[in-house]
Amino acid sequence: MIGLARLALAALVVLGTSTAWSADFVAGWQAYRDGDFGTALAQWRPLAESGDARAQYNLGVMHHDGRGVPRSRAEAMAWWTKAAAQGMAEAQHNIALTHIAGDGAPQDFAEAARWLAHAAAQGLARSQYSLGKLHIDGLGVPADASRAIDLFRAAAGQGDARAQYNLGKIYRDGQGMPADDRQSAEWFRRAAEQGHSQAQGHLGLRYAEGRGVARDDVQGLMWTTLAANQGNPAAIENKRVLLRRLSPDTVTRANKLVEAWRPKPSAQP
Amino acid sequence: MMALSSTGLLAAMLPRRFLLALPILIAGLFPAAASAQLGLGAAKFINDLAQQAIQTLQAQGQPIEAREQRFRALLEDGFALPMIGRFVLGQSYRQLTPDEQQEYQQLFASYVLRTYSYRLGGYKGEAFTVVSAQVQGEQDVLVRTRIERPGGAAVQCDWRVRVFDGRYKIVDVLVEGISMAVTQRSEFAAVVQNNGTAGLLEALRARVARYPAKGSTG
Repeated sequence: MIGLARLALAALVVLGTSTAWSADFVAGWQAYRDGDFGTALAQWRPLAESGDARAQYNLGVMHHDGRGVPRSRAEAMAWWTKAAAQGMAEAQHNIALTHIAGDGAPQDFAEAARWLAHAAAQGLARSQYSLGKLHIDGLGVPADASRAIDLFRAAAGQGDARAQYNLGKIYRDGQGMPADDRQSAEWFRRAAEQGHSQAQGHLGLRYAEGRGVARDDVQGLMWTTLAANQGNPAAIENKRVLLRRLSPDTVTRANKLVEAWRPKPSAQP
Repeated sequence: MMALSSTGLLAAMLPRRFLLALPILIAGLFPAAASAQLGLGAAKFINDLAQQAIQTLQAQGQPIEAREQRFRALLEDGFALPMIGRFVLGQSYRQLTPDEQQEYQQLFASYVLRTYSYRLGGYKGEAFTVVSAQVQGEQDVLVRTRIERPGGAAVQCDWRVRVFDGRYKIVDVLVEGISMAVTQRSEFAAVVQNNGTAGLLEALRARVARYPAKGSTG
């Protein structure tokens, strides 16, 4: 009986503490969202110091961005390293990118690839994408198109627009696999629907030329305009050419679609 | 009734020898006037941009994303980014495929905007003063400004401004006389030397990557 009571008490203490921790974390998050970085720091620092990985990660972000504290990549790295040691994939990813950036740590692609491999294995889409890029370029890892394609597929399947765009290019160029215009257009479409400006530019061109998709002037102008509106220089030029060529009715219909268009929210966690 | 045109009035008021000299005077004055106009316009452009940026950064009670977005829009509008981007990559720009050139320009724009957001992000009541505007050559104006920080040394910051299609754009920033464009150019050249243009693109991707804080449900 006494043993049980002790256990219950212990459970209560642990639960109570974790509830308080959680409340502090949420209070910090709300303050952070409101731009009150002083309060966010006051809530998160004690949590981080007692080993809360999320708080450690967030303190790293605040140091990286210089929010409420002087901007310091080195401080950011110190906090992310603590969170990464607890297995937190996002922290592992940020350490990798710091090594790629060569800002806050020496530029070291091999070290970056090791951290990315940990995070990618945990299923973090952005790490799968970044590791894929290193394999395409042979930076820090051997150049390996088929490994890159596997990683891009994994990330693209989770909704990563950059990975989808890269698959579009790979299918277009036949890099590590036979070229396939239909697949290429399909991956450009998925990235374009999320607002990826270069993918929108390519998709617009596909519709205008009827390559990999059925030719559709309205869709062609719509996607080209969406890309041009984001400042894509090739799309701005293509839009000029299309406007000279297309009927006023086609232009009106495309413009209506542009006005109504909204990016699909990314499924990426 | 005799209508008085301004030239008629002027002719009536001025001795003949002055009249003869007038066209020459006007021809001589006009470039100076245009140049003064160019300088004043550039100074006003920089001052307006700075005031709007400060206002945006100080806007409390707005979500940070909204403030950052507004700040980015201001800078994107104020800087001649495509031109600066080409300059800082030098010869290597031509080695990029068209896809890569586009991506590079977008990355470079984000990188510059990010750098300035960080620099100005810690804004704490600094005083921004336009000191002078000097016209240099036919199209550039160097707008000198001083940024005074409470309890810190004043920083001299000069903005090289040029007119594109009738609108002022910043083409370079000189901090304490050091050109940011030239500094950036040598930094990029070193990265390209070690890891090629692919390595530079990777580094830029990493430098502009966002590291969002994790929320209570994240």
